[in-house]
Amino acid sequence: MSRRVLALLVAVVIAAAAVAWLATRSEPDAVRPAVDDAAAHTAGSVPAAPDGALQAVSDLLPTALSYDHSTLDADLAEATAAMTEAFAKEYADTFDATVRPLATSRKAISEAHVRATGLIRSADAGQALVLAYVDQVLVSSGSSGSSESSGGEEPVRVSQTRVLVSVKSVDGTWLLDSIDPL
Amino acid sequence: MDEKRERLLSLTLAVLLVALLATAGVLWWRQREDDPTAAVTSSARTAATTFFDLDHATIEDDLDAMAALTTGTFATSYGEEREELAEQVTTKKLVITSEIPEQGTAVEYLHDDDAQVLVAVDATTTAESGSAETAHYRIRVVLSHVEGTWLVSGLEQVG
Repeated sequence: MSRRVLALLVAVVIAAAAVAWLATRSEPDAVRPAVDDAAAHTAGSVPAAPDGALQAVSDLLPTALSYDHSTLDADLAEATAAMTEAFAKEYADTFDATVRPLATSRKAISEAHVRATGLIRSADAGQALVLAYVDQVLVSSGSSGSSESSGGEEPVRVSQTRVLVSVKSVDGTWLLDSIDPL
Repeated sequence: MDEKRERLLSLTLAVLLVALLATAGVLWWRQREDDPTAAVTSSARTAATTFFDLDHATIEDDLDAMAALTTGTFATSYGEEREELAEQVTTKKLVITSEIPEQGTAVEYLHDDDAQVLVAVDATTTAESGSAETAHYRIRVVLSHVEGTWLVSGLEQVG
């Protein structure tokens, strides 16, 4: 067999392999955004979003924004563990100044539920700016002698907010870098 | 192998190669993804503000503008509700203007011809008396890619 025929044969084999690969490769499955019965949020597929960035916001916001008056120190530790160093400091200060006195005086248990997350923009694979719709739910308020306390067991939806969340990937882990109301 | 047969073989292989390369090219072209983020975001913003912007003086035009952006069952339900909407706005002589704050648009879902965009909308309602009230909405716009255009197949408040 001449060199020319051999070269052509090799080229044909390579081209056939390329066609086979292109024809059979499957597209990644698309995930629809959803909220389950336990209020856990699943982020939707957004091709422009870095891997895991939107789901990180869904998972980390409830940790950061939920608290129980009887476990405030543990709550704060857990919340700041999900944050970058700089934001953790800022958050701890705010927590001590606002959440701690309020939660203690009202004996409040509050949960944050993520209702939706979307990508605003992402400059690179290591960071993303996300818009989240968050419900802050007052699960119970045991303040004694307060006339405004309903005393019922029903969770009360106290606020529905729009929140700008920035996340950063630090050593492969997504961390909250800022949380601001919109 | 004589020279004639070898030439024929070369020619056959060359034709086969061209055909394979053409097939690969077509497959690649079809699979390459255009990023429709900009188109989707801009359509959602227009939809959200058009939905809220209603003026009693131009109410039919305002409703027409929104209806033109809709598709599917949402088009039907919007068509059914527009009369009542028009009556409310006209009776109370309302002017509703809406604004999207900076960073108030975010892509929630995007795959093939379906998209969902979150749009934060601040809508100000001014009554005849001149009193104005601004409400902050959490809107989700559902879009479908129909014949080259992103149309609204759903618009809801995430309440």
